[in-house]
Amino acid sequence: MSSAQHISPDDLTLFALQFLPEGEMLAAQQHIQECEACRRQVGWIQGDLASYALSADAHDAPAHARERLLAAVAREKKVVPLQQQSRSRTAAAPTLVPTRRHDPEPDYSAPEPRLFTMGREEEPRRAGFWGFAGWAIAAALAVAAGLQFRQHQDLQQQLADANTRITAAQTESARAEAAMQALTGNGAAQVALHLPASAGSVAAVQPYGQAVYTANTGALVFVASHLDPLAPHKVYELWLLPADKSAPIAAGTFKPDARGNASVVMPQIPKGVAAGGFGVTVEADGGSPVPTSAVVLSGA
Amino acid sequence: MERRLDEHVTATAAIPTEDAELLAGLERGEDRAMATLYDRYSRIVYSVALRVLRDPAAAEDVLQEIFMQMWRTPQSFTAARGSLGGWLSVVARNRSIDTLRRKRPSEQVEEIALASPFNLADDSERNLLMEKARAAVVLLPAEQRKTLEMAFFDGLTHSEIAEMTGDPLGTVKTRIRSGLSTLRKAFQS
Repeated sequence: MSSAQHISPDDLTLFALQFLPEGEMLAAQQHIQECEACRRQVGWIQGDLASYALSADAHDAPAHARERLLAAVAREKKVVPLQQQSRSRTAAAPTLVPTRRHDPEPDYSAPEPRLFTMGREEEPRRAGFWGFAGWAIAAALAVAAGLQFRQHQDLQQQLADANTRITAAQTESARAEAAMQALTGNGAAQVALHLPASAGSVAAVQPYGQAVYTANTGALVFVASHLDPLAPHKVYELWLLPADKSAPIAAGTFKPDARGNASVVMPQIPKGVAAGGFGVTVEADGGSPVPTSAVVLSGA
Repeated sequence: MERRLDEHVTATAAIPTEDAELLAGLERGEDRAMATLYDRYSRIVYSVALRVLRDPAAAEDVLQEIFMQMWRTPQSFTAARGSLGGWLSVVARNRSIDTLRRKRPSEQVEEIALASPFNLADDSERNLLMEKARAAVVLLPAEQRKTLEMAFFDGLTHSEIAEMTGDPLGTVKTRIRSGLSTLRKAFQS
């Protein structure tokens, strides 16, 4: 393939970032599948993106997330054929598979040694009533054992679910405690948010909000009242406006209830940002990384 | 020089043996293997998802989705994908952007083997690389840094970035590529 047919490095980067329009994305994918050079380039770009991804601030996932995952894994327990298990094990760790000890071959032609002799040969067993009764008892026992196993599994599942709920409650409690510290801590700053003067509203009861923020911990609690209802697929988004005039930091989205009340408690924002003020805008559902509409509430 | 570099990657980009063993464990349905992989990589995946989504609950959902995908189809995470940790961090970003854009997960990009010489399976190396990445990003020219951040973490397309910053589309594309290229050099130095 001549170089003229290759995809440009800029477009390969856009492909890796999934930014090409759908049609171009499919065409690029088809080309990349067939073109070793471009595939290799994309591999490099993916490696660069992976390196860049590492620059994200490190956060541990909540403790309950692990329990949640393992509970989901337990629910989706796989049925692996024995043959595949043994093949897979052998392939993965051949040195770990113990080898069977070679016992001497038994001589099946020799008569079976007896431990007890009663003076006469035993008669061959006959399957009479008691024989069938024995099978019936065995079957009943097997069913009972199966039921007990099932009960045991259910109990284990319930225990895992209970543990998940406890962990979630503990996380929620820690979050509430942090929120309480934000509200009562020494470094907490309170900011009242009102309609901007430019809004020119004449409503009798105007929306307002109150933000309590502790910069060094990044703890933030925001409550608002008398908010206007939103159009479908719209949300309010709270913004922290840094004192150094850098770009606004998204501090959570919210929708008011039927009475116009809403709150944002402990959103994920960077620590140590001195706040110059707070603002609220209306954004598309899911929020926006940057404010895109007029400010509906602000305070400094 | 280019050839030497390529040889280096071929030699070192193979998935760490232990990751491969754990993936084989997932194929056998071993939940202990799942727990080990989670303990190893959940921090990277969650951090990237949280950075993109800025919402802990949504980031946790992305984390669950990715690890459950790994549990269900471990064979899709084969050694051909290169560094498992690196690959997971890119998948975390892509899934998070899909969530932001309410888009169906697109996997075209994820089918390509990722070339990375780094072993993220090792705790100390992983932490060291995270520090190194942050330091390298700080040293990027401001325009490159901002453009890269908007593209990778904020999920803004090159057209959206051009519209927001007023920069020509070509300049935005070049900044993204140059930023990544500078980062690669910083990591190799």
